[in-house]
Amino acid sequence: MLEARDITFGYPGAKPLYSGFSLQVEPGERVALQAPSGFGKTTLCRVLAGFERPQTGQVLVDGQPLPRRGVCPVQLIQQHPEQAVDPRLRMRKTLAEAGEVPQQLLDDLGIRDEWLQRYPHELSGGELQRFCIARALATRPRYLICDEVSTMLDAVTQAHIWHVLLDYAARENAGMLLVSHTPALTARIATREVALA
Amino acid sequence: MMTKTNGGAPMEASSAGRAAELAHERTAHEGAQLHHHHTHAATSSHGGGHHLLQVEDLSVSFRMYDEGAPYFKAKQHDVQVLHELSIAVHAGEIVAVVGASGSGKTLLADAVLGLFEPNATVTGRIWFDGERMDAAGLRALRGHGLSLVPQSVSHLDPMMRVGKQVEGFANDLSKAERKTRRAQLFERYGLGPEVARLYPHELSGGMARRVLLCCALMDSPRVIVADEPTPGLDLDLAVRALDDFRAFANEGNGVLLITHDIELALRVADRVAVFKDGTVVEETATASFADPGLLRHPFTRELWHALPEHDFAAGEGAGGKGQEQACEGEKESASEQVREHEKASSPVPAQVREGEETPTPASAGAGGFDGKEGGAC
Repeated sequence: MLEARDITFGYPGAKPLYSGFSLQVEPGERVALQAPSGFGKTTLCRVLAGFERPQTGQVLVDGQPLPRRGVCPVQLIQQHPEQAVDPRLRMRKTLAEAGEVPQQLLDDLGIRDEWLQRYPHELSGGELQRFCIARALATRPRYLICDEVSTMLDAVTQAHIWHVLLDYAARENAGMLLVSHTPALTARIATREVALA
Repeated sequence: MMTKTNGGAPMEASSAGRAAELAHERTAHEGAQLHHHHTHAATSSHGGGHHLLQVEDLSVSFRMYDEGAPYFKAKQHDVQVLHELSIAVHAGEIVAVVGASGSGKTLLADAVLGLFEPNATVTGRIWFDGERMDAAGLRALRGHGLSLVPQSVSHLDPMMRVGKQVEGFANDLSKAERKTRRAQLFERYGLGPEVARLYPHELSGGMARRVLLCCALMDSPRVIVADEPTPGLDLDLAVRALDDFRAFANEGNGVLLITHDIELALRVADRVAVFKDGTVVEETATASFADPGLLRHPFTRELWHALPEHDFAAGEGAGGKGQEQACEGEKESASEQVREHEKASSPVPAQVREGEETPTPASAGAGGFDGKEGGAC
């Protein structure tokens, strides 16, 4: 179980976004996080995946805190893929950050061989997002955090990418936390909704 | 043909050709179900017997260096990004252009507004309110009948009070007239008189959006081109922004709404133009999206089935060829683009795809447009 226990977080010089916030995600569950713009949904995603450390409280996976080094069992897929990759690495090296990536996964996501030689700025947003998903899934995470992963995509690509994510979650019985502004998408995917604050 | 290459003067069409084109543009629209590549919504009307804005066979290509070649040996070549695109806006309607982001939709806006990059070659025919336009004509029209609502609030000058900025958009009026017009617009869109004294950073997102709309409306345009006006707004704000366009269109004007958010587009637009691989593959009434059987092009039906409130289908051959086609970006290399374009326009694969895609009895009559929607021209 992924658990956020009594989390307080705020950026320096601003008042805390939340204090004493708790959330639990069971394996196989898909939880949608709901809040208006500016309430700290993305920040909470970053806290849960270990990118930010909460000022008080803990993030636990099966009762254990997130590991300080090595592969994190909670993987975050971000809203802006161009900000999630090193602009100076070719995509082959970016993928290699996750170790060996199975060819089947690349095929499922529709990643073409010639893209591996390119730099991030030579790919479109949707193409980059596939790499970010491949990199996250190749580590076989127990929990996936999806922060508006498909807002910049057309409907067909959006459906395709979500199918890959849902297949993975079903196969590995992984838990999922998702953020989306589209009610129809949330209704389609989430098994439970949680309001932030 | 209106041709513009590297700042050269537009070529004049021969007078005989011009007469033929005028006759074509004035074709009787009454009773026609499918003409000028599109079908109508119930609200489509032809004031003066023509379209408010009509674009035909618009192609845009850029002269670039070959990306694949070594740096010093790279040759120049033309990369075509828009292929013979046609679209029309009637009086009183909103036409949404939907398609993948990065597929060249913004280039359509640039071409309609007569904004050309120095390395661009633009060909095609554009009519505005029945008048045939050339590059100079479009330039003269920009801000005088045809206005742009830009995507981002960062288009406002951060160092200038917003009232003054808005007044600057009607520079052929006297100072007093401008002030009155600006005050009227602010009142109509619920901006108090004190807002004119504010700087852009003091506005909320929704207010800034209304200020941008006022800028576009200052010279009483007939057509507004809105380029991705909603991303970053939550649903409530986005719907309110689109309501403003609706009100503008209802006064007998036209809006070309460029967006990748098909759900919002369906909510507000009268007709939807589906954009794929640099061209419009289908222009149809929004009502047609109620039933995939009314959609003619396989890609439009694929989009329909992919929507979360419908089947959420990833299209056939997920991860395979079909998927690759669905998300071509501008950043593809030239040869790939050309190849993909040929694939898209060659009839054989399209036939195969139509045959495969018969999940509902309604779409079995592929291409069988049966004129269910209102032919009230």
